[in-house]
Amino acid sequence: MDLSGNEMKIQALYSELRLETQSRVPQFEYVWTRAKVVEETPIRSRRMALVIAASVVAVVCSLAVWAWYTSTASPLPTIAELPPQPTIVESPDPQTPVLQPAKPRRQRDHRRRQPERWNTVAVATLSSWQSPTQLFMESPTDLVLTSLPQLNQSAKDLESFLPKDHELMKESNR
Amino acid sequence: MEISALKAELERLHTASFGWAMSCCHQNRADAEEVLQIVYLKILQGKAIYRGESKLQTWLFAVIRKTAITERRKQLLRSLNPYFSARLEVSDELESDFERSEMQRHFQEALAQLPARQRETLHLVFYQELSLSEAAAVMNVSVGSARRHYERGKKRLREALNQDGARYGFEWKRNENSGAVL
Repeated sequence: MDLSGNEMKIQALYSELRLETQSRVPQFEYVWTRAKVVEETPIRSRRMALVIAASVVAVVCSLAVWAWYTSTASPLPTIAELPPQPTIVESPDPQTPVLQPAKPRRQRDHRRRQPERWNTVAVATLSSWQSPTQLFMESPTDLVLTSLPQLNQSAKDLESFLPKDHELMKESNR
Repeated sequence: MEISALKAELERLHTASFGWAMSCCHQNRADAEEVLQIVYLKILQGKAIYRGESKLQTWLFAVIRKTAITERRKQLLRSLNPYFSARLEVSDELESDFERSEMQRHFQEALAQLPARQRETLHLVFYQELSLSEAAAVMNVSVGSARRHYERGKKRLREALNQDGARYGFEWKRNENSGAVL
């Protein structure tokens, strides 16, 4: 570049500045080594940070699982302990309810549905509950008492529904 | 380019790189050293890769300039924090302790008054002795823009020096450059 007078002076000033700067230049090896040290340090710290983060996540997950287990634990008996309860199924004849053994429950139920299942089992148990004195309420004439004669039946047939005279006598004697 | 070969080239350019870093950091030695260290770190980490599209010096100077600008921005943000601003003040005091001639001090004051682009162009041309096209490549501007910065920078520098010229016993005669684009 062709330099004029002013440019020569500016260049002279820059030359002086260059000399001044050159006397203050740090050693290349010093700066390079520091850069290398800094380059290696973050890798170690990054690995450490990764390990710490993984540990924290593991601890948090463990705590969450523990908290979930403790919250779902209940004094009610578990499903495994309960015997399969019979369920009442309506038969075509409404007078004779048929008891059917409960179907085995699916093993692959999620634990999340345990409270719902406990409720279902409790309802089934209560609905199928029978009083111990139920036996005393039964009599041979239950069929007669719980059924009605047809309207078109003859009066003769209706007699069969009526108690016999000697039976009436026995009843009256009692 | 392998890292060992690159390291040898960087070592060869180290003094010039430091001078350029000083110019980018307003003649603050500590900042210039830090910028240079960050540049070497970028090279080691592969964040700054030389692909041979230009001269190594041009590429390196462009990386230094970009890093210095980034660091300058960070410093401005840090200055909002009282702890960091205190540190900056200390470093400035250390810099001002450096002994230099009155003439040189006046020259640097005049340089500090120039806009960054003009100061950079003048430094690259006069200090680093690069051509205007190389300076344009470093600054990532067109050659025309670089020429404009160069001419305007020269004019403003001359004016600034003339204002106080009498005080320092020198006078800048106006010698217009026929090729100036003003």
